[in-house]
Amino acid sequence: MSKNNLAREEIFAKVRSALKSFPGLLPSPLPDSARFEPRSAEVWDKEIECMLNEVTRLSGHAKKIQGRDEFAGALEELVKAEQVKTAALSDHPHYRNYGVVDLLQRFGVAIVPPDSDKRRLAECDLGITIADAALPETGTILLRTTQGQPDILSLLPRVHLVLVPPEALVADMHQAFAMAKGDRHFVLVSGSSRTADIEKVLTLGVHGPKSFHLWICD
Amino acid sequence: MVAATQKSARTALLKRAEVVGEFGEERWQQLRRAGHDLRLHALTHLDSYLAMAEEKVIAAGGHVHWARDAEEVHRIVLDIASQHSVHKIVKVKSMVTEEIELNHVLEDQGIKVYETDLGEFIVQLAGQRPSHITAPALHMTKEEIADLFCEKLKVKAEPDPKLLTEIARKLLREEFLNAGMGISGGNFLIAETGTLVLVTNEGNGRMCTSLPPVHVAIVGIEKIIPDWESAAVMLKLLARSVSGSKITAYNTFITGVREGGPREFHLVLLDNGRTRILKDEVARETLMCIRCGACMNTCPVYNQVGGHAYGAVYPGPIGSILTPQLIGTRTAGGLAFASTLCGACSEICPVMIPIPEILLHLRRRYIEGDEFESSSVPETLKVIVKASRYVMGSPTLYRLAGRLGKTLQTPLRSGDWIPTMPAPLDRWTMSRPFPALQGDFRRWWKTQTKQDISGEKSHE
Amino acid sequence: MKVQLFVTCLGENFLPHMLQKMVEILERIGVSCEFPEGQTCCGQPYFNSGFQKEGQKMALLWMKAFADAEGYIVAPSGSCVEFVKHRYPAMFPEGTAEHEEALKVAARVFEFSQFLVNILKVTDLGASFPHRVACHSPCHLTRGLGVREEQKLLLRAVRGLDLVPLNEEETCCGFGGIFSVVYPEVSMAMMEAKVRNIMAGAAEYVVVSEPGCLINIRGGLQKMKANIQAMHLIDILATGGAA
Repeated sequence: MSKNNLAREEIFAKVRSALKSFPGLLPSPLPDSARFEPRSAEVWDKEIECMLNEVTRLSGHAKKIQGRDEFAGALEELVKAEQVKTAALSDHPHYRNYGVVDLLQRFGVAIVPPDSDKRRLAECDLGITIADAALPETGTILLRTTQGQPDILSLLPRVHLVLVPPEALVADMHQAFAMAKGDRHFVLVSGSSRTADIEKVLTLGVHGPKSFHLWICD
Repeated sequence: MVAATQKSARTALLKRAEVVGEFGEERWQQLRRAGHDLRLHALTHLDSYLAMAEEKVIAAGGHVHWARDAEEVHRIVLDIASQHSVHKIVKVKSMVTEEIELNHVLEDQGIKVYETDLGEFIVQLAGQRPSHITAPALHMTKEEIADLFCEKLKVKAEPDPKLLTEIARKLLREEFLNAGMGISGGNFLIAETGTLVLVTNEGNGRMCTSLPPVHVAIVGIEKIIPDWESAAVMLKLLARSVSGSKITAYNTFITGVREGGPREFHLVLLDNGRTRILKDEVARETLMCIRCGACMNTCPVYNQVGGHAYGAVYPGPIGSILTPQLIGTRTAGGLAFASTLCGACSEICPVMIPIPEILLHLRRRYIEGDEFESSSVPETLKVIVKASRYVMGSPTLYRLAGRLGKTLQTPLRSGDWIPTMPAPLDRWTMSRPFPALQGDFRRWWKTQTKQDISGEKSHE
Repeated sequence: MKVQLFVTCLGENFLPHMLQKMVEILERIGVSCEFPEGQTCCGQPYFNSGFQKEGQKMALLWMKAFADAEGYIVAPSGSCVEFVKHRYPAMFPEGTAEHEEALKVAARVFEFSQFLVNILKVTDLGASFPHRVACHSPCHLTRGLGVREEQKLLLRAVRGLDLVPLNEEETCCGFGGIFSVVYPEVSMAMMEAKVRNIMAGAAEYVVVSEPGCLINIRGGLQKMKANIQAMHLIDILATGGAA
């Protein structure tokens, strides 16, 4: 440990000497030119449209869902299309609005608890999360890591479905950060896991989920 | 490799132009200015921000280690690995870990290290160095990659990017779930809360920093940014500059340890020559680099020679200024001359690093020496150049040299051209003919003004 | 109006006829010219190669040559003008007499197309050149001095001239001063890429308004047997008039 302290002292000494500063000196505030005006929100309908377009651009599947019937239909379609046999969903009261658990059971999908072992989640077909915030400009969702909605829930299962309550839409990254910056861990997810590392050919689902579904649920 | 480099660069530049256009050219310039100013502010207050970040990381249950050079990082990482009996490590792509050649050291101790970014995984299998900082396997064709997988992984692999990716996905998933440690770099470190920011597309960044029980992050001290507002500026600049997407698939924000995540978080802060660059007021902006790769995409030299030609971890324009400063101009000074100073790089750099300015600064270091390094050229060269300057600086001698040149060129001349010249001037004619010296402006001017005086031309 | 001619070392030694035409054009539009004989070279080749002390000495000599007058200084080269304008003041510490001199001279110096369009507000010189012409964008003129549109404005006013697009027109031609002899293979590859782009554009002529680039590209066109002529903007503007 003392070697670490020696290294620390030497690095700080070199930095201070390079900057001609001294210990205890507080940084001056950032100049105005180092700031950038955050984006303002457009009209509501436009924001929703923008969100859906951007997610689609990022090779995700984006939908607007209105009402329980539409939701049930969409979920059934997803389960069939993606051949979902097992699903894990986070602990969140929002699901009750749509009766997600009942629907999944009705479609023959076995439910895996969200705090399951990572191996179990890795074998899971579908992971369902609720977005804490959504950024229309870039088709991004904020997922705060909590015990009820662990990070790996949106990472390990083969398919990721995120439900976006309409009130989650915010204008700019700044608002998302204001919400989550005190957390120990959070992720901004924008579309599908992807790469173009082989001959610049876009390939989806490299390590993360193979497909990404986003539903704005009213 | 060069053709692949060019094609990729062109695509990235076109896409970038599109998203920048969408963002608004004027707004983009404001954003670049903000990026520059906040990065410079962070650097010029680095001690305060480093102290702040350290305090916050520790308060969030993380460990902070300080490393003066590559060896110290090796020792720190090996210590942590042995403490936890680690046999297998999964790694996220990190330029700084290339810089310190971490993988070799770990493997020498019998620890298996898996690069998990698809491009890095491929390049690691091939035993090669990455040729571009954000597209490491740019130089390989799908056929070459398929052959590589056949040979090294003993699997039947078809030259189809989707199928090849699937092979890598299956293999690496096992490793993510089994590894004892995950190693990452860090795109940024937010001083305000001690938060490490990882910008990725594939998902491996999240895997490596969520699944194994221990996470070690190695970050150059220059990666610090002051606060969350700065992080928003950086993220708006980064993805657009790398490849013309507005944002990458995953942006992960890690502060210390959390429930359900790795039990231990170790942040290793590395100097390795950065404090020396910081001291240089002209060149310190080199440290503002956010590793987007846009400079090399647009560089006509990089596009002609490819990344491996630079013979160093960091290629392209940023490599030309960073490498000579990290390892000395005596060894790497030639890189500072591997540029026409065309300025395309500084025009595209999201944080406005004045690369040509710094190149000139390093050329001076190489030729004349400065307070950081003594001159790397022999005295005789300087004497010859001084003598030539003496001639060039005197109108009489200058004209005389011109007249001498016109005489000497006669046997070599072919009409308007001199097709070949003796060494060392053949370094020009090997590529194209040299123009023959013709005409005499000053003589013409004298006759011209004589005409004027005699009133044959009128002026307004 | 009177201007001082900054002929440039490359211009004087390799493109003297172009310089003559520059004088003729200026006089035709009522600008009388002076030629300070003490000038030789602005020092850029030395400075940019790392021999900055020698470059400074050249700068001092150059400033002395131009110290006698106060009017505009005009050169047919963006890189030489950029060097005087941006580099001269930076060479000398603030507060010194040399720095003051440098600031004064930096404010006076202009590249030819910049001078015509932005100072004299002239775009039509009565020139006539009925051919297909491509226009290369020299790095120091465009990125260095920010002079991007002026050349094209002048070319569009030339009678009969068909300005054709040039692929990758802002990409460097590979000259780069000392670069061309330190890394000749790379320089050649860049030059060949530029020439191939010119050839692909179906132009009969290409405008290269930078002496170093002009010599490079001309040599390249010759070597690659392209049936295309490279000219300075001045060569084209001098046509069709009294010159």
